[in-house]
Amino acid sequence: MNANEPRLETRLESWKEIGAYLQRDATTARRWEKEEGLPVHRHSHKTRSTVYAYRSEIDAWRAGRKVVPEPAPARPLWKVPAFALTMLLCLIMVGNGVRPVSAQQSQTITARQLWTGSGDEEASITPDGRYFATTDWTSGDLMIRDLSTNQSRRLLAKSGGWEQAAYASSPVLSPDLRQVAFQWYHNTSNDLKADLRVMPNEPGAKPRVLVANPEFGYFRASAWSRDGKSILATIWKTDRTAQLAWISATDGSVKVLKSLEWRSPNSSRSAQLSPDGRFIAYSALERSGSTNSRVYVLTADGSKEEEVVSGSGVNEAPFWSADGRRLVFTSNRSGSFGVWAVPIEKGRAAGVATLLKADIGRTDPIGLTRSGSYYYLHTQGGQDVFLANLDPDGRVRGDSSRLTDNFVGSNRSPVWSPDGKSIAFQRARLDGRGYDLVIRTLENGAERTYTEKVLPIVQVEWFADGKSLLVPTRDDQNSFSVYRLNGADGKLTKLITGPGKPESIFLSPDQKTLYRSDRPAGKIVTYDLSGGREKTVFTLPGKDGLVFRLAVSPDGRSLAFNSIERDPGNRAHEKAGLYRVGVDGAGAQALYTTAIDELNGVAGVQTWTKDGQYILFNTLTSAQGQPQQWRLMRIRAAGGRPEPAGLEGTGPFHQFAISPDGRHIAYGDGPAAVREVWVLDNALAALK
Amino acid sequence: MKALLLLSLVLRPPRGLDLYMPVPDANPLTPQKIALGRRLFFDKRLSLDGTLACASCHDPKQAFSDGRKVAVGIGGAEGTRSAPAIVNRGYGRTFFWDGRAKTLEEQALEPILNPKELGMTEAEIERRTGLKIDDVTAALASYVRTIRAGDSRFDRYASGNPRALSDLEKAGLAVFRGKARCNTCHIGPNFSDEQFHNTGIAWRDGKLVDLGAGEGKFKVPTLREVAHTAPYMHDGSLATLEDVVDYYDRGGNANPGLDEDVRPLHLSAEEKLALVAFLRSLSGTIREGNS
Repeated sequence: MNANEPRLETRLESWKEIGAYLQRDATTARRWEKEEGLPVHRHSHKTRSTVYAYRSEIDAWRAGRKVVPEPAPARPLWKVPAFALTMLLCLIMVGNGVRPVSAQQSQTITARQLWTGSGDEEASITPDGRYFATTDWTSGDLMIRDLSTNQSRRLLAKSGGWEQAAYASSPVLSPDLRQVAFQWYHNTSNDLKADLRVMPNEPGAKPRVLVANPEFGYFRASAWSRDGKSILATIWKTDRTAQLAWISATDGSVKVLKSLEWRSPNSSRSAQLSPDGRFIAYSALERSGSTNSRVYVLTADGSKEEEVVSGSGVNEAPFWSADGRRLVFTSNRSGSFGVWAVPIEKGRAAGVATLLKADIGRTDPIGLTRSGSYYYLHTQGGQDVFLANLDPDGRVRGDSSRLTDNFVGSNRSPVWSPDGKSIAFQRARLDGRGYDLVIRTLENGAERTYTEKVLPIVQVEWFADGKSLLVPTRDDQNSFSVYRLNGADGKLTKLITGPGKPESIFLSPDQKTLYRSDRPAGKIVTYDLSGGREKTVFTLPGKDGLVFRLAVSPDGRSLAFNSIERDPGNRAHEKAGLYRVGVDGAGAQALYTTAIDELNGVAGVQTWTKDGQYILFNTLTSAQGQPQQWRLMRIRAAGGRPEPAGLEGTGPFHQFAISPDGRHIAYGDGPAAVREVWVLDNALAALK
Repeated sequence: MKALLLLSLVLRPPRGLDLYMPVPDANPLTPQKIALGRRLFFDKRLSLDGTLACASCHDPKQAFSDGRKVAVGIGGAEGTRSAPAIVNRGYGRTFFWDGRAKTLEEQALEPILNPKELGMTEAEIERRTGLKIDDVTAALASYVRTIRAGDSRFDRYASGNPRALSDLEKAGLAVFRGKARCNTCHIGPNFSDEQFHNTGIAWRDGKLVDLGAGEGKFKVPTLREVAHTAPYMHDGSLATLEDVVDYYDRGGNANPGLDEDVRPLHLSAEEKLALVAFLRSLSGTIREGNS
């Protein structure tokens, strides 16, 4: 078993089974899902969706389910002397070294789900556990949720959706709750920019820009100084290096405490200020490119630093206990992800780490309150790889089946091996840092996983030898590299490196040339694998087009690609399309175009049938008030009317791959992962 | 208390550097130790023949380097490697071109004791200075920690002043981070990943002439003040910044262990010009000692 593999369990596959497990009927189970957050998952596939649930999650839900206590009756007067007598007895017992079991000691860790569907890994919780500051992802607005009343209020009164140019993120309330610091992420001239802002904690109040510097690409505000004069933030620069810094809440001046270079984990792992304001705890990779991370404590003035949690594996996302004497962090040091605590004294580790809660799964920690409630996001759902039969003319026949039940919701991007006996695909890492590469032998289900420091990978292709794979990766810096992975020993050999993002990269059938779509430049470029020299072979006409999702024809003579032709002056003229062009850039032909509104701006993922006669691609229709409908289409490579190819659902579909014999199709399918907000109450109970 | 206040003022770094600088618990910075270290750094009594001091090869006027291809010790003895510019070494994680020292304390005495450099013995150092050898080490390391270069025009640009760099320099920055990928190794406030790479410099005519940290790998040097630290590379074999850019543009000297990130860049003449202009913008202010 892989060290990070969660405990496998049999799923409950219907409302009936879920109800039976709860010893209730299916109707009650449905009601509990709706009213009390019973953890039930849905897989939307083809024309209907099915539900399923995990026993462990139901157990956790049941354990943490709120039971409203009955009102306590008024204490009768005769009980007062009895109470006094009990207290006296207790004092006598303590004096004799016999301690009664306190209420605290009897507490155990319980997990409960707060809500689902609006998870935000950059949210924050106030130390008293009352206010949850987050992004409202329906609008991109700042939202403050009062957990005592479950009422939410938006602060910016922002109109439109988050994807329309701007959104707020990583909000953190000042100690007196009067101000909110947050990042404002906005689109200017086709370039995403971030600035750090502060605004009063009042709906409709005017924000103030604290830092707007083109060198700074992303902010994660994580704490205020105790006097409310400075904001602790992680700043990712445009070269993707990160810095821990204090930012003046008055004039926005930046004091860099520590540069983390490329050692910073993702933005959900923020730095945390100790309750006395003297220390900052943060996690970082042990070195650039490593998968191991460690926890550090830095004095708030930057004068000293100590590594407080070391060792291999992931150790991250530290939060201070209320007394400042412990750091609670997540780690997979025991083989699976759990919540741990390490004692701290004067900024140094004062003992070994203790496991608080095992097997917590894929989480993004949010915060630890003074009462010891540990808030986190739990990710459910996501993509999986499916297989279906395919007719020679590119039509899917019959039902699809899931390639693997391992790590459900974490698998994507299938590619057939040249002999058709294996499928390579990608599996999301539990720590959220990209994907591992997995090769699964279809005959016996054996899997080999490649965990490489060069991840995250973008997509892979097999070389014709069937023993090695082409692995494009997004580098830490703003560039990409393409490697050859030897399947036998896992050794990587760098083939080329280039600037920008990798987008889609494909190998020519003769294995000599790489084709890459340069999406923002609207170009297709080639790389000679022997020398790495880049050459532009095609540029989309017009000045503002995007080119993406390449697919090389089986004979190696043509490329299919998706495009968006933009017209900022008249959005009604904007079009999305499927094109075909010769590999030398000649003879570009639009096979299918549609107004962007109809496609909703979503890419069509395409592939060629093995005989090169058809191109399969994805469309999305999104009628008002109706669920999105994804559909696999086929169109003659020579041109013609597109027609349904027998696969549809609420998808979206991701990457199609046709088997070498042309009789099967593998594809990624599944909605975006759902983020659920959970809380572990009494997280520190194990230490008491 | 006064000393601590003075120290906090002294150690406020120039713009562009981190507030945090690792200092070992066993050798905390004090104004007295820094002052002593400074005196020792310039003291020619620390060379056997009394002709050289640390500052002879690490001249403040040349960004704490010496402008020579390779270092020259007592009696005109030539070394095999150039004297590195020792700015911002307080932020370093390994020392010397081959990284053989892990701390500044480990590093400090070695050139003084090297027969081809200052040629002293520990006993002679103690006799001439009247100090214990550990105190000499601690003082020199403390002083070197205070040598910090920053507040360059690039730092001002990075702090939010878009006019601090010219258009040409900004174009050079884009090349630095983009097509030339210099920031694969030259990253962070000190423009060094503190790692070791085989860039091919140690290979001549198909032969490895200096093992370095192994297989011809050498420490990535800082680019702070790089306009003032010619000649370049561990052996001073490249005279100008233009030569350095040309060297990397052609993909370095081929050899079996050449770092896979060193490969032809295909830079245009304009891109090279811009890149050199950007490198020159990394000159700023050097603070040292208790000043």
